[in-house]
Amino acid sequence: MTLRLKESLFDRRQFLRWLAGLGGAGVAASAFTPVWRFLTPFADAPPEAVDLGNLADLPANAARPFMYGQWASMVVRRPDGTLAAFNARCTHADCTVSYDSQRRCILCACHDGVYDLDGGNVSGPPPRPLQRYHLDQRDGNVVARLHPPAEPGEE
Amino acid sequence: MGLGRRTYGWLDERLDLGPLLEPLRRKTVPRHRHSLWYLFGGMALTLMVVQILTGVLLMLYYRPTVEAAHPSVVRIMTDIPGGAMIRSFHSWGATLLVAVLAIHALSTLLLAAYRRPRELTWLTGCLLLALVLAFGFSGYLLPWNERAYFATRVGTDLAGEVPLIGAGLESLLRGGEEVGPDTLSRFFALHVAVLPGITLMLLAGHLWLIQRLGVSSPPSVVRRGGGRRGLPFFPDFALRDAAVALGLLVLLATLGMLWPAELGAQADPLQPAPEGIAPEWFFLFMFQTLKALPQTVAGIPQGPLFVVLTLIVGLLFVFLPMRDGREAGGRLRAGLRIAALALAGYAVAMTIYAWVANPAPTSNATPVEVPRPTADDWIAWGVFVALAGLTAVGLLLLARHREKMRRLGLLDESEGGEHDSA
Repeated sequence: MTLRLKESLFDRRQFLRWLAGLGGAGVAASAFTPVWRFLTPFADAPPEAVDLGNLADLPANAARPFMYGQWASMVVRRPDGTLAAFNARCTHADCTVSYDSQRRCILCACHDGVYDLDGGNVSGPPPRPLQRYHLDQRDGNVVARLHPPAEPGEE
Repeated sequence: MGLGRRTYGWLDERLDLGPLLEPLRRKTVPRHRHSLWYLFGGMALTLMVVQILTGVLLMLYYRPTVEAAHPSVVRIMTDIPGGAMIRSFHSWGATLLVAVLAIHALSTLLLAAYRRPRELTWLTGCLLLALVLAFGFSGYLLPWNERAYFATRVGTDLAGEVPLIGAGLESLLRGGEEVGPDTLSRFFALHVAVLPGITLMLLAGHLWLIQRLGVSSPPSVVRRGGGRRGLPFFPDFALRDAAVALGLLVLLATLGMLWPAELGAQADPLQPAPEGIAPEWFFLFMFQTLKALPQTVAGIPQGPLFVVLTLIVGLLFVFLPMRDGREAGGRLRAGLRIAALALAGYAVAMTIYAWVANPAPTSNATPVEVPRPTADDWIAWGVFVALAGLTAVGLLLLARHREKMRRLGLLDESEGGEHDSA
């Protein structure tokens, strides 16, 4: 007894077409991934810490720009003499903010965003506070860190 | 037999040019009181040719690296003979092209020229407008000055707000996390290779569709039975097109003499955005909207809201007219007209508001001054303007002469066929 199909669900021509389509799609998909990876390279990891020097020459109510890896950043000597350091990229649309010594605040000139001297939002469109770095001393120099240093006991 | 005719004969014998050129020979432009708007397509084409030619010339001296870009543009503007004029043509040409295309698109909307069967002409036109804006955005960065640097940071950051694909899109545009050397290379490649390739293909399609489908008459004219008797494109309308093209060249040369393209100060990623920073004028209304929107609207953060709204308005702008197929038109067409005028009015109002409300741009470093034109430059300008102006007047007189001949029935009308506006 033989089993015979009167009607094939899938004739040879359809099968070959399907195979060709699948093959084409597969080639396109496998080529896409390496090309996409080529187009969007991995970002360099930001450094652990950046040495800002001793900052003795930075007067009160003034700021100095520095680069934290690729990020434009600023260290501020606030009117009360304390230091604070921020990633200077505005959280609204990625412009670089500046220190306004008259109004004693941090300003973004692109869309009029205003931050206080802790990086908090005061007015304007920025949705989040500025990213703030941790500051500590090392050999008399001020060091900015993205993350607080590990506890001495853990090292 | 002249050389031109002999060459044509030689080519025709081999390629049978007759059927290819037949549509061009028979092409007519409807005549009615809105005919003026038909000139804007030709103006856009003229300006695109100007952009390609001046762009290739600028590439001979421009260097697309972060260190060399700004100095190389300074060299073009100050040292290379004629460089300031070539770059001013390119910069003012971009400005005029955006303005001309905006008018071209608006008149297409108001005269309902997009309606069936010309949906594809509308679609390719919209894509060309988007491409020209992409040209403007990518070209703006190439001199690597402060304003361009921050405009690019804001623009690419906004691309990052697009839902789902934003992060990938931003990193794709920037070539990394930050706007830097890789961004400049990418924008250069986009500006001089990717965008021109796509634009030329779409432009060919757009022009072919116009040959294939003919020039549209507005519904109000069709209803009254007007616009059927068309003006032959060759040579009558082409004479007017050519005169307008010469007028544009005179305008570009004059703008370039009076207000040469700016140089600005070289971008310095360490420096904050200077006060009064703003994008190119055609993005000003979006820039001002971004300033005016509150942090959150009904719980939605401003960034995604702005980007999604812009995308929705853009998509409606492109696809709503394609739904308005019927000749008679209905509520959709009336609504589209009002929406188009409202959008144009909003853009104009916000642009003026941005000009008035924002402080004059300042700079962290001293911007490089562009030298003023010398007496020799003015003489060269005067000769060019005189020749171009005289030629334009000559072309218009010729067009008028043909007009008179036609009215008197002295013109062989076999060259211009009956215009069918349906």
